Amino acid sequence: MRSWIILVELAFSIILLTFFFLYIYYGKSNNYNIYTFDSNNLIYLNSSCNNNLYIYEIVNLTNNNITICYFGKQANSTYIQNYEPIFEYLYAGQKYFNPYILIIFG
Amino acid sequence: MRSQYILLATIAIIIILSFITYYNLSPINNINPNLIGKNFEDQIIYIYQNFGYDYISNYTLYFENYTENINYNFSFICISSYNLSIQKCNGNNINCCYYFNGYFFVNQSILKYCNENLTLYNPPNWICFCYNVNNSNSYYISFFCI
Repeated sequence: MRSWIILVELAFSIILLTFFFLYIYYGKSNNYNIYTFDSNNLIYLNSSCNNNLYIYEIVNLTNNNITICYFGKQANSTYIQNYEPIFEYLYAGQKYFNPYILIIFG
Repeated sequence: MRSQYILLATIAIIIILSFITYYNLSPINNINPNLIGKNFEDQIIYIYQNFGYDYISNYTLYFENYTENINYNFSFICISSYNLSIQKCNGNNINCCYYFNGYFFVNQSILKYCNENLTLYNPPNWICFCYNVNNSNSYYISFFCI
């Protein structure tokens, strides 16, 4: 009788752990799927770090200035060491011709 | 008793798998030849609509340097009724650019990568690009006119 209870408990924990595994697997990949990287929406990201949803880097090609924005705050390169670039785009400029590269990290 | 060991082993495997997945699941990388090609196309159109065609040659130069830096091969052929003064089309090297006045018959041999046959008349004014982006894994080829 006792061994039956243990068996049921073990089976229950396996079910729980399987759900935990699935939650981690799909939860983590879905986090990045939420961002539909539409270049038209991301054109508003600029070097003033006005967006707190993304970790991004802007490389201004006219003066070679690099700005790193970490969830809305200007940061240095140590903040993005553990992140990988997941989106890159070379914009021609916003209001006037001023090419810059946008790199989003995730 | 034996089935309990099997269950315990299954639990252990699931725990290990969870940890491996959690730490190794890299984010989905959106950078690919398709995105880079669309980047070029969209920004050429954006420049034409917002800043004027004078800036197109400048942008193509930046774009070529950029794709080189991220280890992608990028090449293009343009046909235009404007003289875009693209740097690499000057002098004897006119392979990448066809500047026309009146009408221009475009066929596949001119475009190299793109499977297009068409005739362009002037006016209205045309700027057409056939471009090819590739890396070691995949490629993207497209043709567009503005």
